[in-house]
Amino acid sequence: MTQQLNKKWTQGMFSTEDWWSAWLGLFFFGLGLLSIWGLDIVGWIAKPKTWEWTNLMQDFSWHKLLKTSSTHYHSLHPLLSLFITYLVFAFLTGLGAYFQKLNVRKYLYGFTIIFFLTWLAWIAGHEAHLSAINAMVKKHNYFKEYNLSWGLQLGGGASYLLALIIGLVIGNFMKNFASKIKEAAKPEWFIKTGIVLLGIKLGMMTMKAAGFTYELALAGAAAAFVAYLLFWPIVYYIGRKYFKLNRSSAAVLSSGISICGVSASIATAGAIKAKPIIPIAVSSLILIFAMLELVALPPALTHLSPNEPIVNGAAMGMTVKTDGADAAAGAILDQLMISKHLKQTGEQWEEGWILSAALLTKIWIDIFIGIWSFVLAIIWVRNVDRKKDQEKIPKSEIWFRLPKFVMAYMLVWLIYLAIMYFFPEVVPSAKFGGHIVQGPYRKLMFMLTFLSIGVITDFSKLKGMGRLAILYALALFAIIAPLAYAVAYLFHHGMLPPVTK
Amino acid sequence: MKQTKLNPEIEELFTHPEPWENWESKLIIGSILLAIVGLTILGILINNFILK
Repeated sequence: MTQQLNKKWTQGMFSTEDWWSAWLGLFFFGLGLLSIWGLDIVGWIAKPKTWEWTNLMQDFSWHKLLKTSSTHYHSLHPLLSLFITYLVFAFLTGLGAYFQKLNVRKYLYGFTIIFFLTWLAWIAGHEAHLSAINAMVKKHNYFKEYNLSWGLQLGGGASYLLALIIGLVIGNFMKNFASKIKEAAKPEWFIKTGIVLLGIKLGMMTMKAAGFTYELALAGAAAAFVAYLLFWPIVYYIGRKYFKLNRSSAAVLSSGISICGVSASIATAGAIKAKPIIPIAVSSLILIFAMLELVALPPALTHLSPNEPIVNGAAMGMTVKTDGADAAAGAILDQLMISKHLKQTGEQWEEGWILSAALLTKIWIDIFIGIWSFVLAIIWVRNVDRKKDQEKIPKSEIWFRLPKFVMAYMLVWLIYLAIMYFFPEVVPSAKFGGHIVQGPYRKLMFMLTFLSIGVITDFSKLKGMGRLAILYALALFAIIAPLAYAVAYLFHHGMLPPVTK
Repeated sequence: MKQTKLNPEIEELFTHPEPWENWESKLIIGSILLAIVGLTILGILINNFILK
């Protein structure tokens, strides 16, 4: 406890995953911002193109599969661009792995495999039969251009699903191989970095539609506040009364299950000094169920409520645990709903708004968990540990529990707002670099997340946790999912993303 | 049929449930009341100023 009280505010700045998400995200953001001064030092990154397999077989060329992200680097061969992308990401994340005290050699070995498998999924997912939508998208109708007779029309969702499937196959059927690359399977780190970069997208979206962005942020905050205060006590009560959990277990499970996932269960366990096994067991359940939600919820919501995209996004943010799974599910939902709406109406919603709705509710919850952990710590000291520990909980604990990647996300957004209000003349050049960083850079982090999340998901871990798993499933599907949808509906109904012109 | 044996560490989660105390009731009720108040006030504000 004394050690805890003497923590410096800078503690963990170079050694935690959370801080490294912020550093990496801000570094890429800074590189992109240099476009304000006419410098393009981000455009070398590779990005996949839509292709069709018979067309490719007739005349194979890497140029049909990949390209650089900006015209300044078009002279680079696509494979060289991909190799540079690998070197830069391996170096930067390897640096982070070193400071986080991971085994760097193992990390680089695992990262190399995960990186290239991710690209395999990303390129394969752009095959026209999987991704092309029969409508004009960014001045192209690839469905017609390739003269397709059939197609799944999944848009960008196809790549995400493929990466997830590859990861799950490795995690569940190739366990020896999975254990060899696990050092680099860091979905939370990758997605948190991706979320920081999403701050750029939110900034650019604000430049286009400031009013709607603020409305979305306010509605998300209100919904998250109400939902958390409803979910936590209900799950705690059921856990204690009907599943006979002890207090610590019920509290950790409630925090983990009700909204906030792994980080919340760890934060709560720390706040109430629960035994280490409790957050570990709860975290395994959270990860496994998050995977089920990730696979089931986006298509279910797209099918059941096709006309309420923002409600669906916000409900997703409140239902899916872990930032990684939520962002991943939000990204799939975004793509599936845009594709469905486009197919049905010929009107294309702007990409990113549904995902942002999912993330904004989640981000408010992430902020809230710092405060909630603090409240729980005080309650536990006063009521549970009062006899053995009378020490005060320092207010600095709120700082330590505040997710730093969320701060970086907000900072990036605020910098874009400042540019918009104070330097409107540089907005077009700021958008140039920002567009690349929030595009291929962010999507690469998302793709790495999907593959990694699959690699570390081992469904056999559910064995022996029957009772806990039943409580989790019951709370999730019978209480949290319907309540989340109701709260999301109350605060977001009728909101629609802007339409792409 | 072979019964799955509970991991002893997981079993810890279900052992020694303490008796329900008054402060727990206050925590639960307080939280739900705050949620209802929040739902009402924020709901009215969001509906009037954002969704309409």
